[in-house]
Amino acid sequence: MGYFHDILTGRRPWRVPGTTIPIIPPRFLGENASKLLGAVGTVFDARAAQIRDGRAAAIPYAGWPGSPERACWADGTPIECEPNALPIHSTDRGIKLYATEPLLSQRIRLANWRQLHAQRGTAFGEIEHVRPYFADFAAAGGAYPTIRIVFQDNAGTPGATWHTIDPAGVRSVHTQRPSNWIWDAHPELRTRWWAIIHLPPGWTTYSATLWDSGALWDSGFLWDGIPAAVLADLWSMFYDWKGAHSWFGGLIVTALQPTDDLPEFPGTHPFDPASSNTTNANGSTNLPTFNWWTDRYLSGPLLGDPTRPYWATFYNMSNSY
Amino acid sequence: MSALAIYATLLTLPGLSQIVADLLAIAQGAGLSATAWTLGSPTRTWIEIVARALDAWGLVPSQAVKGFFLDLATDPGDAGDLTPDQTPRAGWLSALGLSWYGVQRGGQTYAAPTVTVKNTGTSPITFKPYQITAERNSVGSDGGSVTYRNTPDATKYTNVDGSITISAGASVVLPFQADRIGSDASAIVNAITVIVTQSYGPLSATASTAATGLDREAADAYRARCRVAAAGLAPGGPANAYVIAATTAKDGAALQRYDGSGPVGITTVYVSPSSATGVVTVYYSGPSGAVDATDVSSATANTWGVPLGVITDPRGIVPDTVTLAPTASDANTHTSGGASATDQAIAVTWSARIRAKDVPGGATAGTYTSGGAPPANVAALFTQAASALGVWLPSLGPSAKDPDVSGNGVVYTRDIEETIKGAVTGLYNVSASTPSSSTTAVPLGYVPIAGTISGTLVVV
Repeated sequence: MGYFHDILTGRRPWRVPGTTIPIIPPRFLGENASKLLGAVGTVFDARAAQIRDGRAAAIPYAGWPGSPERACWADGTPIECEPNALPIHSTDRGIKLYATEPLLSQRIRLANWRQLHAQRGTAFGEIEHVRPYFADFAAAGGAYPTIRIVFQDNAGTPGATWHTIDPAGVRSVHTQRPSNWIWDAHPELRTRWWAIIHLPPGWTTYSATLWDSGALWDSGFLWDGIPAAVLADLWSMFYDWKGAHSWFGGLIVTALQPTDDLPEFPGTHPFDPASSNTTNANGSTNLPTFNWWTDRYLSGPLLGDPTRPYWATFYNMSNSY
Repeated sequence: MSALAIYATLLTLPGLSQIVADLLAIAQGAGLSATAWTLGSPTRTWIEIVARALDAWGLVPSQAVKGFFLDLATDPGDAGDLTPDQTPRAGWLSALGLSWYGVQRGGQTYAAPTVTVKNTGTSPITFKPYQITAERNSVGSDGGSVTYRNTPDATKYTNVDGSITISAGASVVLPFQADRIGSDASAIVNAITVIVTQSYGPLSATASTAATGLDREAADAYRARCRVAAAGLAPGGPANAYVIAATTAKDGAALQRYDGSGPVGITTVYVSPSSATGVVTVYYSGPSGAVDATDVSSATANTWGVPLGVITDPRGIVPDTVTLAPTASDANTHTSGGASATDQAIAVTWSARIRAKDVPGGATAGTYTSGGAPPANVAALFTQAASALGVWLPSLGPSAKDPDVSGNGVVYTRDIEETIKGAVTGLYNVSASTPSSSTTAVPLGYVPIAGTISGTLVVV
């Protein structure tokens, strides 16, 4: 039974402080009196539970699942709100929730709202906003993805600056000059940027072989093996966290890891910030070289062929022209 | 049910009758013949006592829990607040907003005009601060006189004893302050025409300046400022950072106009979502539509972090290499900047039906038009509808709804109909023939306001 029920029925010792004198005399605990006090105690317990839930509703996140720091009630349930209170915190904290976003990600982002806002509009801030999406996968023993953001400046010799957060959360910045991210012939559009996610191994059924494979190609709810709704939410999480002065060029997702060899480019790795631009025999390139701005070659010997590599998915690309 | 509704239900603790019923039901379930207990019997009386104590106590934690949520927290004087003393003042909502979001709720202020006081007699008149009462030429919302008292000013009250002497026939401009707080004591130019106090000699008011008294910031407006406050933390200039820089000072208080004439009137802001060249286009509007140049320069100063007038500690949220548009150089900050949206009047011709019993005071069945000569109580319904549109349309802000990537938005005719319907209790079958299409375009840089509003009401 509950705390108050047990006190009022004598099942839990309730004594005058510093003494052994019972607050409720034994004569009060006859069968009928005990039942009556038990009823009062049960109502008190129900009220206490309601207030407990109400107070917990103000707390979106109890801590990392399974960690000793996770705050829990005596019965082991986490001290955090029910999922139906998360939209309230979302509104109050300016943290949008996304349809496919796992619950753990929502809770982590809501708990870290100030830190996320304090980095909003920066490359690392945008990556940190997306990274929790994979938290439930990490909590289940998986890894976080490597996530990069790259843009090309408009210096005399344009350079590409790559911001990366690896699966361990380590940040790095690399500028390659001359640029190895030559999206098109418009370096003057200097505030465009692109996001790249190396999906963690085992996160989805996605594999490089699915590109353009039968009914799965860009069809319905699956986009190259990833639900289109997931891509849409990941794209939005980047977009929603950018500065008003910048242009999100699009989301690129690959199942290849940063250390993998590229299938047609032995010795090179996918989206390697330090890599140079390489063109192989069939005309495809490991990194954009004036060609990825459109998905098909519009002229020349490769007319009609794909410009972008098959080992990545390009979602909602936008050149600003 | 929305999450908020679910949560509100959670916090609606059972009332007295429910507590009594619960107690009796549990006791009955435990084997006691509780339902047979008669009111007034000792046991039943104890049940009542416990229930009343629980009911009275329950309000405390309920209110305390609500205090953690912007939508549920209130200050005394707000709708839904349960504090016994409802004098408007800071409470849970203000405490939450200040401590969690760093945003201070705008308080009431006194109107403070200057009045030109003339000695109309033949002898000098001497008086001290607070000894003269002046009166506005129109009554307040409560029907009472709106009065002002002369306030201290060391440059005016220069006599040794702190008084001022006005020679016969002379005039002096003196500072006054309203006796009542809030907008009810605002005054337009030359509205203060009477000097009530004549005990020091014959005095008259020959001129007065405009003065604005402010009501406390509306709870929802305050909540909205709180919600965008976190964007002000961002170094990378997200869209909401430009919104908060237009409305909220660095210390969390409402942003003041740089000339010291009160808070800025900006309530809605359009911020262009993306740019490939580092340009952010910003348009401002207020409760009535366009805002003035002082508001724009004040917002621009706070956005760039340029001290200007009374804005001595501005925010500054614009990242390096970014420029604002459409103003190439603001006249006061000498930076690029946003601009006031231009009013776009939207004419509305509507028709609706209402049952005669739903017209306050009743009405004869028939068709009435706002341009005709309807009975006063029917005319009041037309006024209510027009007023609602007059408030709602500008509240949509620059570009109104669904702006495209270029900032061109729309006003939905369906929403116009809904607004009219919501303004008058009992109205149904509301239809707008103007605008004739389902949407009205609101181009970049424009804010919708109410144009000519014409209504036809069929009373059945």
